[in-house]
Amino acid sequence: MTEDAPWSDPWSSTVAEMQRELLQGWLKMGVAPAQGSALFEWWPKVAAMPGSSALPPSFQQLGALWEQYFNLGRAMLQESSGEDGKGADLASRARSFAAVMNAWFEQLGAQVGQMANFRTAPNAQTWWRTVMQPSAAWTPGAGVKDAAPQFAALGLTRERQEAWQKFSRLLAQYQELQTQLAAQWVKIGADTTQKFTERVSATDAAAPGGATASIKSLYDLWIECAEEVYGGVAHSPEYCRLIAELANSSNAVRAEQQRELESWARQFDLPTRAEVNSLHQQVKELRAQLRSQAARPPLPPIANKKRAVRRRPRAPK
Amino acid sequence: MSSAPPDPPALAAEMLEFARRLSATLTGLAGAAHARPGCSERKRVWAEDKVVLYRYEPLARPARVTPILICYALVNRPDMMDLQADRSLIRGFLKGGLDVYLIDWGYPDGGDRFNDLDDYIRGYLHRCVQHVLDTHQIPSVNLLGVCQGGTFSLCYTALYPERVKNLITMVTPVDFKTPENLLSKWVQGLDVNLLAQGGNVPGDSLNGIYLSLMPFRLTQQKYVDMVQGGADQRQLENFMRMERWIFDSPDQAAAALREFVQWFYQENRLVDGSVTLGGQRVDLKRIVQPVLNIYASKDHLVPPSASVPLARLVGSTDYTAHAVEVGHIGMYVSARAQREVPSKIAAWLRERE
Repeated sequence: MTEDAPWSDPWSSTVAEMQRELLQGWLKMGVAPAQGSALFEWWPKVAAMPGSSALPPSFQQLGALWEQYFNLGRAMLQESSGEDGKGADLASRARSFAAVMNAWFEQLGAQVGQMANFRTAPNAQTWWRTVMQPSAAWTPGAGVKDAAPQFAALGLTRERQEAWQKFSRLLAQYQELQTQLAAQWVKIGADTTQKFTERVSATDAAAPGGATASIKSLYDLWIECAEEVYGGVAHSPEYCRLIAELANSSNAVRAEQQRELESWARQFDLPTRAEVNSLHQQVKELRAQLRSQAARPPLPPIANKKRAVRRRPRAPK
Repeated sequence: MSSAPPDPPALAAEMLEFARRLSATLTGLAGAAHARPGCSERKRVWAEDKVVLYRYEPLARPARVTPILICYALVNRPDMMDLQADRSLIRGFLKGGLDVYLIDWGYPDGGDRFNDLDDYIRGYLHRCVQHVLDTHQIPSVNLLGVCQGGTFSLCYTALYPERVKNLITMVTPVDFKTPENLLSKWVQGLDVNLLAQGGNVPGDSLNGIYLSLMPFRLTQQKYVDMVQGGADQRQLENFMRMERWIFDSPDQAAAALREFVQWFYQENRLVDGSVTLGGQRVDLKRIVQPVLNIYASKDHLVPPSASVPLARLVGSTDYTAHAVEVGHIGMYVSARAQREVPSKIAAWLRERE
């Protein structure tokens, strides 16, 4: 199903039916408020419907986001109705809300951490094995994929061993940097939780019920705290260095992958990127020469005439 | 510490309303999927490679003002200048009687990877200017540079001052190394040669970087707010147009991007006057024609501190800075910008005709 395809009717009617159930659940809440948490199961149920898996990718991505919003609502209702016996304490409530958001943050952190990367390296380990295994089978001697990176590359497959060693080294660096980035995001998550808890308490102290007056106001407060904490980290020299190193490392891994693919292409006498680049550069230079010649003032007519007179007529082919 | 807990029925009612809006929004979005940016009539009047020059059809009596040529950025599409009828700076210009040209840089592919800044500025931009001059038999044009296109326009005007009658820069970075500029901080350690070695840089990669400048607002809150906004079909179509524009990002020609990051972001050459194009130094002091610099006071991509220094760098004695209380995107589509910007530019140009 594409993004432009019409909404599927069976799915839509089922959602409408679930909406009616939701409304009935809400009406029952007038009698027993604690039963209301069932309301917040609505989105997970929608997302789990058989038809939902066929919906556009954007639906799948955003579904997690909306589900989180419902989770926050559920936590608020539980806290306010005292289901867990800790309804009255604001700090406890704030921590509970923060815990919900933090669980989501951990999932989000991995994705967002990748976003600042200039080129995300494809699944490099899998890729390399796929490429190198058949390659090793063609090559006499030891399978180069097993070559230990710390030994000097020797023998007939020396070049390939060395390429593998370099790739292993670059991949290890990339993974190490990813680990460092993940550590930064753990810190951002923890600091956000703390800031959020403090802010809920402070806001509520100033105007009771202010921060927790609605699910949306609490959600917006969390976003605000997360952006503030993230902004502080993102501007730090350490984070800036890490982002640049990660981008460089990712590009280096990719360059090695490209080099290997080029080598494959040559074995099959296919055009390589290097050859195409060379042609592009030649075309570019030729166009520049043409332009500069076209921009030159034409020779004076008399000179043209003289040249034409001196030229001998060519014999027909 | 204690406080009155939220009222459970009120919370449930809020969630019910959210669920209702979510359901309606999802249905409405399917109907809004057709919405695309772009609304004003225009003609293709010149093209070379993937670059196209458009001329817009007039919407009002001509104002007897020199035509205005809009030089947009390479990143993102110029559709943002003409998103929809009620959010279109171009439409504002046309209603003011201006004759509007727009450069569309197209979508570079692997064949354009060696296009450098010289190709874009002294090449394509120069020939677009030439086309306008030839068409109208005039010696100079009004040039409006937007964002990165503003930086290009500054370079061009410094190299060919006689061809630019008035220069307008909009959300244009000039000083690329100011404390608020997060993007600049991130790219200081970037190995640009390694980056360019891998070919053109995908537009999606750049989008990822832009989103990660404010990740929680731009990847999360925005979509909750969309639901909260209700399922008004017109609003959803507006949202979809913006969404399309944001993620419709051309790949960046490797050579041009390498130079742009290195020269401007890493070495801040525009400020110290060390940019060289085609063997000629780009000296902003050569810009002596009237300059109008419009910047967004809440811009997180091009902070005001990056734009404001233009005042001391150009040679013009007729320099006007104008801040609009919006963010980067708001400069193109906000109601405030729609009210302020086209009329400001049209009036400023008329005064200098």
